[in-house]
Amino acid sequence: MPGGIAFEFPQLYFTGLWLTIQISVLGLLGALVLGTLVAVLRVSPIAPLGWIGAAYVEFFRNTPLVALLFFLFLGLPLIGLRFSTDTFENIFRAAAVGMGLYHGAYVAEVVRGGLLGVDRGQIEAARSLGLSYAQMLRYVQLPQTFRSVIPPLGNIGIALVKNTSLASTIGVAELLYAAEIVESRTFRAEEAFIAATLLYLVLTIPLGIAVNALERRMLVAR
Amino acid sequence: MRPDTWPMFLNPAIWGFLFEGLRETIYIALASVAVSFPVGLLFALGRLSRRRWMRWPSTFYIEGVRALPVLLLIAYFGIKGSALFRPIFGQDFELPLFWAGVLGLSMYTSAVLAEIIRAGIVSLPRGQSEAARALGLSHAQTMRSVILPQALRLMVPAMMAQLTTVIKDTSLVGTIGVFELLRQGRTIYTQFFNPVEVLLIVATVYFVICFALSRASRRFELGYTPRAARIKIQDIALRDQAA
Amino acid sequence: MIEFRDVHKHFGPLHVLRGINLTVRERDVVVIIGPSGSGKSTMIRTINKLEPIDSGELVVDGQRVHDPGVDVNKLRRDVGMVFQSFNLFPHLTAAENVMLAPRKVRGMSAAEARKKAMALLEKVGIPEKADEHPTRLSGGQQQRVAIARALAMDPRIMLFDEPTSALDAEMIREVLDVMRDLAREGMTMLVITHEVGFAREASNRVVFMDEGRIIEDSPTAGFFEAPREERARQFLSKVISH
Repeated sequence: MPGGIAFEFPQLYFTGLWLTIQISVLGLLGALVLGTLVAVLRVSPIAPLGWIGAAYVEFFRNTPLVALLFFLFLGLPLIGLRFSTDTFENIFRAAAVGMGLYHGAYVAEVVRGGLLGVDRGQIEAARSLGLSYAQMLRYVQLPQTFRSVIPPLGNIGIALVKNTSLASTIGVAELLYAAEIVESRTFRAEEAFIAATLLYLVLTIPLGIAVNALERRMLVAR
Repeated sequence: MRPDTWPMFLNPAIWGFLFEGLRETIYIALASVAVSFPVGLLFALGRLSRRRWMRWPSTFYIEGVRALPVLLLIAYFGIKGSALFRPIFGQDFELPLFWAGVLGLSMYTSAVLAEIIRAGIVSLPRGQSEAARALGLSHAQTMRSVILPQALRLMVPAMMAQLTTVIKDTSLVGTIGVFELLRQGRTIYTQFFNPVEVLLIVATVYFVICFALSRASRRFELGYTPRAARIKIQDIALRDQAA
Repeated sequence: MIEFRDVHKHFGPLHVLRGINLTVRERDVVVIIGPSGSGKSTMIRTINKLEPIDSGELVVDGQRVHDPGVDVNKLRRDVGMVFQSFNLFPHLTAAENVMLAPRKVRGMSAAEARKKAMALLEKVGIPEKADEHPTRLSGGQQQRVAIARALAMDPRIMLFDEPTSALDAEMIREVLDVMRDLAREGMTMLVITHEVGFAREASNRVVFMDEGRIIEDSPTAGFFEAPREERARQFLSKVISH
């Protein structure tokens, strides 16, 4: 049975899967919060805030995620910042923070697109009712972006799940790490990698199907 | 940041060392694009084919590969690349790690390019192929003279954006022992124990290249690119921004 | 030259052509009118097999279009088509649009094809736009290039699918002028249009379609003044009034 090797090394594979899920969820939450904030900065009428947002997006979109992970894991402790004194906790948190920071830039681009897509009349109507800029954002502009940003955000989610594999490079024992350990113990590379592949697919395929279904429903609704 | 870690960067040897890594990074990226473009084009046409025996395997390849982490592909070829080619090139064959990395990266990139190319093709108005067919051009002639020239031009920005992703992804090839830019940087900071400085410099180099490329890609946005196509292609790119 | 015998066509549950019988002779200029959804467009698109037919017989220039063995590409060389939305190839200049089929299909040399393209652009009145890309041309100019492009294969039949519906008044005239000249030269033409003026001057027959059937097929002379069929009369009163 393809992937059967996972049951010979359940400790490695299923702990790995669980870590992958945890990093994905934490990273995605972080990315959503950060990304939304950065998007709001980018569309804000105050120019310097817009520049800060743009700088954030451009910086993280144009540098490799692995370099960021190494920085969080090795560099920060040297300048006195450590996520945890526990080594395991430290790399785990570094990985989750890295995922959030990096994908936050992509989320920001999507949310910004959604915000700019809202009809200007909506904004003017809200402001003319006496809502402050912040209230208008909160109650009128952001809620209206919701529909259009869900499918692309789903795509970022898929990318994020796949990118958690990079956490293996700083020593997080997630799925890819499990496959590499099992390969080095058994020399059964195909089986070891296929098992990890299948477990990744367990996470990404349902997400992909959900995104496609949502996309189709929105096309119809439009 | 300790003050004594910066003066070492006055030593040109350090920069020479980083430059070697940068050169390797660029070679990996160019080789990967050179391999994945024709492969991607083939799979895109395969997926659009009316023949099931072409369409199904192409769809399977594209969707399957895109669902995988690119690092997993690179790690796999790093370990098993040589063994895979031994039946063809003989028992002593050793696949250079450079090419193992290129193979993993190209497999992934070809699937992404295939989707970008397909999106470009299907986004063209139906009237284009109808007009060509009405003139008596065959299916192949229509593809070659009317559809592909337009679709490929439409895709130049998306492909350049993909190139920035490829350049970022070359940093993953360092994990299997290819001495690209980030790997060279790691060698330096394990010697001198200054990861903050080195990583900042390395990140800046990646940033300058990728930022310039993504800026340049915007200049290639064409006036007649249908808006829907642009959005669709951006979406694909978004999903495939690995690492 | 074109012969429909009891031609039927479905789009899924939709029965769009319900037994078409029509004979078009050489040098005929047939104007086809009728409400939208009446099957006009589908009917003329079956002539060059952009739409295959489900049943019946369709013979174009001696070739049975629905035969599995028919060489569609050869058939299409003899039938030129002009679309409502022009469908010029935006990556090619006007002249290159015209040259494409002669070069690729007939294997003509670049110089020869260019000469031919220039002659045709002259004929449609815009030789000076030969090296412009379609996006730089007005709608009327684009449609004239599209006519030149269709003529480049020396077709024996020309199909026009609402060639002026996407144009405004000024441009309609310049396109109709070109079509009128073509008719005068004896080209066999099928034209879907609501331009009554053009139909009166240039066509010799008018076919009125509704709900997938040909309701009336009369000589142009007299049709607009006194259509035989009630439905045609109602339709005309709507079209002519504006």
